[in-house]
Amino acid sequence: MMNKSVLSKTGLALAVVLFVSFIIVVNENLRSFRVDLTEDKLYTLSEGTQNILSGLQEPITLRLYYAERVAQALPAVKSYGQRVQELLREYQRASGGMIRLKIIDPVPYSNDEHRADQYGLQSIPIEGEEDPLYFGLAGTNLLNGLEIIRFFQPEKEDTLEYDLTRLIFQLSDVQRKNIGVLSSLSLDGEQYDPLKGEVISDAGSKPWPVMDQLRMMFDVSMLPDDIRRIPTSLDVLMVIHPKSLTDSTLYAIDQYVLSGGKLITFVDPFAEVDVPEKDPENPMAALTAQRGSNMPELFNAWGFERDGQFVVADRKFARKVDFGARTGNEPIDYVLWLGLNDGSLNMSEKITSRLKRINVATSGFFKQLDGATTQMTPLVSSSDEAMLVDKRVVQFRNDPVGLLTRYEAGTKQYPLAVRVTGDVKTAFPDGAKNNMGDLQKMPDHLDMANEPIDIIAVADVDMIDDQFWVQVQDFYGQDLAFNTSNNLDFVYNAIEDLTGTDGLISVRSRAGFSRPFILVNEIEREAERRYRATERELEQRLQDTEQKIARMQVQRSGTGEQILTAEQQKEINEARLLAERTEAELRTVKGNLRQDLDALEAVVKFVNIGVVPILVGILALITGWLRLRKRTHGRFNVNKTGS
Amino acid sequence: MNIRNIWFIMKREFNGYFATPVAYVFIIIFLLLAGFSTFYVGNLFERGEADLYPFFSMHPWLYILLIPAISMRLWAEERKSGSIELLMTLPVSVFEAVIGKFLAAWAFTGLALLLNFPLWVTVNVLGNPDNGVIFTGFIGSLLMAGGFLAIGASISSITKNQVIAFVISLIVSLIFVLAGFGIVLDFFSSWAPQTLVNVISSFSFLTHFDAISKGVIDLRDILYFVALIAIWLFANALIINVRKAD
Repeated sequence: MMNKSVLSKTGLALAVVLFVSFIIVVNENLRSFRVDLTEDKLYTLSEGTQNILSGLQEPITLRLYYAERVAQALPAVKSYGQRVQELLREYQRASGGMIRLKIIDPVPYSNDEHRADQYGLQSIPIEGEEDPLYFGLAGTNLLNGLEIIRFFQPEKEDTLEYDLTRLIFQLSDVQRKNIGVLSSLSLDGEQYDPLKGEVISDAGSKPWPVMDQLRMMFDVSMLPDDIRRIPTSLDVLMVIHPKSLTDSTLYAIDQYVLSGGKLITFVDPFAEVDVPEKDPENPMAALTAQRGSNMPELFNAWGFERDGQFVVADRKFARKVDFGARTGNEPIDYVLWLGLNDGSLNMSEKITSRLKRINVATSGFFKQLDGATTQMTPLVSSSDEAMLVDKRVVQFRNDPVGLLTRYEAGTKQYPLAVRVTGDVKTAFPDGAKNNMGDLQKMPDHLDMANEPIDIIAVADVDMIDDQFWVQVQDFYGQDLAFNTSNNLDFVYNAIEDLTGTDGLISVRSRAGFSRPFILVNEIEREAERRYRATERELEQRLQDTEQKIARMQVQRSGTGEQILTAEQQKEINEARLLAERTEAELRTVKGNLRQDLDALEAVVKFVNIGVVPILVGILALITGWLRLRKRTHGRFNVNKTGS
Repeated sequence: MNIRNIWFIMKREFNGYFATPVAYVFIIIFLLLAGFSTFYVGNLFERGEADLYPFFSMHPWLYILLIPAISMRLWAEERKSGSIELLMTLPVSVFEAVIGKFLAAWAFTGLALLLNFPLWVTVNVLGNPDNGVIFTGFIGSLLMAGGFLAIGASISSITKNQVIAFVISLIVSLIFVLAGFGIVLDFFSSWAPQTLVNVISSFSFLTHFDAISKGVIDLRDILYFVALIAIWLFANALIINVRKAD
């Protein structure tokens, strides 16, 4: 007996040792053996990453500086640390030896720490730890190129693969595409005047974030907005907010496109970012300033137009915006600022098929002209509840509440961004006027397109403004940027697709920004719509009544009589009563705004918390009763046989 | 080891659960706690996100409380009532009995878990969730429940007293959950080498459960739970063997 117990104890001890070593061995050696069941395959290297990795010609060294000891205190960082390391190993494996991965623990006062600082990686003090936390990456290539990820924030796990792949792409020897940008906006912030040797615009103004982002991936050159010939070396020309371009510049763009040049243009009936300078002498100037842009001559020749009068309002995709006192300090559905998602992005076009959300502001729309020889494919459209609003309404007095109150849903989807392809003729058959005012053709003038043209036009300029795609937070003194929409991805994808490179299209925006309760949002919108309609009605009634009271009082003082007739008094009292009642009704309507939602919430909670337990309880009672009956029957039978 | 014997024990045990109201009461309590914590602690509705994160993130804590309540009676009761002698006279080995009883308890827990299906329906009605992630969440939760059950079963075989079995199981379960927590690891990292700290955290239920419920089924996480269940059931069988001899 004693033997058996001893034997068991040894067996148990052996088993524990075996178990512990098994887990350690498994954890250390069985990496990346897994099934990714997420809908967007978030944990599998995308095609784009694999293409870039397998196309590497020169080795790239990645140094991950990660102080695991320090990360111990922060479970979120620690598990993210593991994720980053595993993903990097996956990269290393898929690169066929072209990626050299070094994982370094920068011990304080060591050469490693010094080097991490030199690379510009961020160290973060952690409460309760003596040493700071390093968790960044420095990538280098043979040509002394250096790209870094300053710090891996767990919050940015969504874009981890994209950030890494982009870093490798930047270090790779892939020929960068040339992008030319022509714009009436000072996208590069300060403009340096070489003649005067000073900056022209306000001191301290910085390039638009979109320009920084474009320069990370492409060679970007700014073109003067009176350019007379577009360089043929460009891979893509971007024309952003073209206000009053001269004929010769339009002619240059025309010839560039006809000779097979790729074009992306942003034209807007009302660009919110194009804020006019305030002129104290003439305050009206700011109101009437031209804030739209268009290129009708070219668009017409290409078989489409951008409507100049109307902007697109869309209740379904309206974003919630807080206008302060104007909207009662509460965010309301602003029907001109749209967050376009499901159903509005073309799923069969590569540029938009993987995107989740495009933000636009007071966008215009495109129309195909009758008899066009080109084909127009919408990339981004409004919902079919959209409504057109005269742009002057927005320009002179923007009234978000009024827009919502007067909203009347339409039945048509409006294309907000389109791709136009096909054969076209020149818009300038006789050339354009030169300095002398004479019509002049270019020496290699084209009357017809060499090959079908391929251009992308977006009816909104604001979408490239950072406030519509990125949010910056402070992270230990450094800016930490989160993308709030896929606007930038749209621009990247458009450039890559036009130039025929797959690039990073499949890596971008693999993760959604969120998966909201669609039904809840719909109910909210419907309640809001009903509330606004009733509000409009009641407010009208209140106004009428108040006017009536005022009129009667004016009449009274007009006649000079001090005492009202009984009839008049009665009428005034009635009107006052009506006004009070209306106000009360208005309050009730407001109170009922959440009623449907509260009802849904109650149902959801009851179904999920209560229903199954109740059913199980009933089942228990029934089975209990059946059992009891069986037992008493059984006893009865026993008694009978016994007697 | 005979599969048929295991199946026999499992069926007998599983049906045994429903012979008394205890099983129903347990399921009802589990569902109510899960539902209330999902909506009032996890704020599933107010969050407005179509996923079941608020539901699954409560599971480690729910299981710490509830699983010992199932496992405490697995062997302690048999010992107290003496029915263990009867069980041992059956033509089944100790291992078969241990596995059969464990599987019955696991199936019962799985049933309780599945009865939360209205939540899955709800998020699909309200929005457009990633059902792959929800699926792995269920798998992860089930594996974790198995881990807790194996611990509880083993501890239940040490004592005749169910209350003692409950308390000890709860404490051990808590240790296995907390092993992945920062505070606990800090305590170790002050004196133990980094590798040991890593090993300790790799033994936490939380680490593996979180990894699975993100939507990726990693062989390491599966092996962890399977090995953990195996070792505790092995211990369970050894203890029964020794005690039987006493």
